[in-house]
Amino acid sequence: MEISHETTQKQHQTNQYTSIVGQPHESLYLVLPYLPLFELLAMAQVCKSFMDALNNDILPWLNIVVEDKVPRSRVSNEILMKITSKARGRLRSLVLVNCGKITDDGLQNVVANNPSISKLHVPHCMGLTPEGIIKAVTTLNQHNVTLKTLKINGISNITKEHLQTLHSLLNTDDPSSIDVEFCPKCDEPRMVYDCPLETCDRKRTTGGCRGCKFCVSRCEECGKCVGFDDDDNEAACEDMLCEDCWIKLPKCDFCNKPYCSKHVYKQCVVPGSSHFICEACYMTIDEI
Amino acid sequence: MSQTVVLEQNAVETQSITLKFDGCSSDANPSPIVNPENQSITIKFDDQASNHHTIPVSIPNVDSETEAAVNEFLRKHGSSDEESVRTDAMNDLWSFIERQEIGTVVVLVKFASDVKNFELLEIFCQRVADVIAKKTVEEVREIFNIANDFTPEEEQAIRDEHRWAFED
Repeated sequence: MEISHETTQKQHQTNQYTSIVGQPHESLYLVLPYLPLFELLAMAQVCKSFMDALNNDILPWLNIVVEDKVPRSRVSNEILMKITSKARGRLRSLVLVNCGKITDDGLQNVVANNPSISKLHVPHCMGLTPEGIIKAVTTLNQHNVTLKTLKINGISNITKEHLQTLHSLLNTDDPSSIDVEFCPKCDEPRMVYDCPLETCDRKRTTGGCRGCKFCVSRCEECGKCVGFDDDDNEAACEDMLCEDCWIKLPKCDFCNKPYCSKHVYKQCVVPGSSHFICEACYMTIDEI
Repeated sequence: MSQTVVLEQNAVETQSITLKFDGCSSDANPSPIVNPENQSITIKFDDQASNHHTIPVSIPNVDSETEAAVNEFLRKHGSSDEESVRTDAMNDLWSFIERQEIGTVVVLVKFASDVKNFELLEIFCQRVADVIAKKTVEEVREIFNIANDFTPEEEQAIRDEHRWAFED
């Protein structure tokens, strides 16, 4: 009796990716514009083809995103100028999160050379002032009003006049084009959120549920207001949750607290199961 | 913009017509407007339906489950103008893609580019970018099987160009 063995070769990843051995798949060039700045700079080191693509192509440099990683605090005016010059005047969006070294002059230089910026997000860039931002937006508007969204949360000393000026410069009725407004409850310039519910306890009793995160606690998952009548549904990551979302999320085996979706990575998974233990409980077990 | 097709009937009592537009047939079921005077039938196609490939597409080099997921997205996304339906379709596809091997997603990027579907291209490129973002230079080479064709001096020169980004 003949037994035929079928050997199925494990499909190596290489077969799918490369038409020419060692060269990047053509798709990867399309991915370059989606990378934030640090990753983009790192890609130039991967191989000569990427280095050439990044040196010769302006597409990957049209949307500069600096956020999250440690080196962002090192981005100086000179570095910013060097990076944005690769867009050859056609920079579309500039996202700088918590880049403390950028000053009003640095920002002004960039916008003076790139009149088509449509997205300017500079939250928590403590070196910038509202006056500097107004000057930058005014410069952008000189030829055509192309700026659509502006994020300035965390910039110090924003006044109502500043915001009014900026809104009129952006020339749009859409209030969400600027992320900051004055909280109706505490009157501070902050990011203000609406309640997704048509009616909620706060709306019924105090007349309004619009407020900044300091005035109105919200469920991390769905944005519903929480904490009005002491319904304390805390997550293991210490974010607040509403009852409905709290019920739906998987819980720590020990303390029965869930993680919100943003902090799911903190779960200490029990091998071979879908259960997990939260970091805090894990630490206490470790000590035993 | 909508596109209009005008048909003139030539003394034939009944006709069944299947209209093909750009190689796809639209199942948007537009209602024909009949003009008895010149015996013409006008059918307006919503441009969106015809541009969004509402028929099942076949995708080379991916398994059937992936092809089905992409087609489900195309169907759902093209079926409604409502923001919530389209967002749901995108979220479903995104969740599916996150569970796939990166090689599949790279193939899908090429497919999306070939068929010029901007929504698909966004999702697939963003996914590959997210994967790359967490990796070192060497890991990127490994995953995508890219040969390092720099000399050590050349590599160092590139690092030096943006030293501020790479020193610890």
